[in-house]
Amino acid sequence: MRFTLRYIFIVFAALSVSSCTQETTMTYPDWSGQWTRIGSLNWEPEGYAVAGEPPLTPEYQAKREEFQRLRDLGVLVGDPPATCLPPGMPRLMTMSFPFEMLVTPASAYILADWDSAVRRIYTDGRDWPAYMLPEFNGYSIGQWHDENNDGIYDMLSVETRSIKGPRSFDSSAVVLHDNNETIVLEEFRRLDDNTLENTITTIDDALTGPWTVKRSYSHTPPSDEVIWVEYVCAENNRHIKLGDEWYFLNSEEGTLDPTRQGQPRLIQELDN
Amino acid sequence: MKRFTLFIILFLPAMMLARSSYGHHSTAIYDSDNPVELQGRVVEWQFTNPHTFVILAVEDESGEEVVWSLEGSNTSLMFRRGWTPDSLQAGDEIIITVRPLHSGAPGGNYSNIRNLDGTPFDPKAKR
Repeated sequence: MRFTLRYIFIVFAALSVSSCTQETTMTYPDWSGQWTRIGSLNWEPEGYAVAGEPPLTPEYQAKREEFQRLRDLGVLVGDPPATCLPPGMPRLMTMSFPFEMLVTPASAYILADWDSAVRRIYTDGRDWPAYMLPEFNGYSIGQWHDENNDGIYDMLSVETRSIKGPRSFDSSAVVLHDNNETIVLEEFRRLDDNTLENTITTIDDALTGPWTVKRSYSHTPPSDEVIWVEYVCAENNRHIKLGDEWYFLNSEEGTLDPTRQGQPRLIQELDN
Repeated sequence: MKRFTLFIILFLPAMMLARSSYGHHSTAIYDSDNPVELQGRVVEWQFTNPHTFVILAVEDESGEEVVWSLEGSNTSLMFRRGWTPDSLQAGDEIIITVRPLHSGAPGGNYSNIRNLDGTPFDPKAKR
């Protein structure tokens, strides 16, 4: 009996050490520096002319066509960031401007120049909270993987839920569903020194099925030469939406100028 | 005062370049099919986000001065190309390609800033 207990203890201790050793020897990757978008600003990096049209349901395809008809008249519909709403997820990952990726054991952070946006991806093993406040970038839980078993994490999978709207995939009037039940799945892999790839699958009721695209970003090593530029959209945005009408703010004249023909110019009512 | 002129030509390569620089929003409110070239005097250069603006005084065909609000690329891209808040100054005379608002109001989307002799404007030149 004594022998048995001692044997169990040794085995348990050995397993514990083995488990700890595996945890402590895993290394997190260095993905620091600046990452810059490769490809177009369409959600499909090659552009829809090459990759084909977005897989929209008939309802959302009709909505897109109506948006395009109005745009031809000069109405800026179907593009929420035009009024300085955040791009949100998944559109943020088109990365109009460069971004930085900071990796810690508990979280990975994406710091984007566009809209000065921050994504916080929890990698501490947590489960989904009972309640998640909807936010434009959603709530993200990630998990690191070692795909080539060399002891260094090389792939970050992320699931993002609780995303606030309105949102569009890009500026071409491809909008996500009004119910905001979008789920975004991502897999980040560093393909080589210069390339970070993100395989992004969007599940949304505006789509006929999951829509997967691969977006890539090129690397600039961290140094004094790397340029980061502040982006505050409210600083000088001239695109104003009043009800269903769009106007172009003419700050110099103090007027709201029409964007489509036949629309009245709005001027200040001044006291005499 | 020097008489400024407004004339219309097609300038598609510059338009395509301008489109590729846009990330913040669609350029649907601008008439890409009918770009114009404006020659005028800079009233103000706004090196701001989400877009830079050139406020340009242009004399129209009837001799009246019209002030245009012209939206361009953003500070992130332009700073990397050498543009700063001091690149343009009030009083500078330039030629600029513009996709005007569909409505006909004096606003638009600019690209391809040039000197009056047609040479490219150098944003890094000492002033």
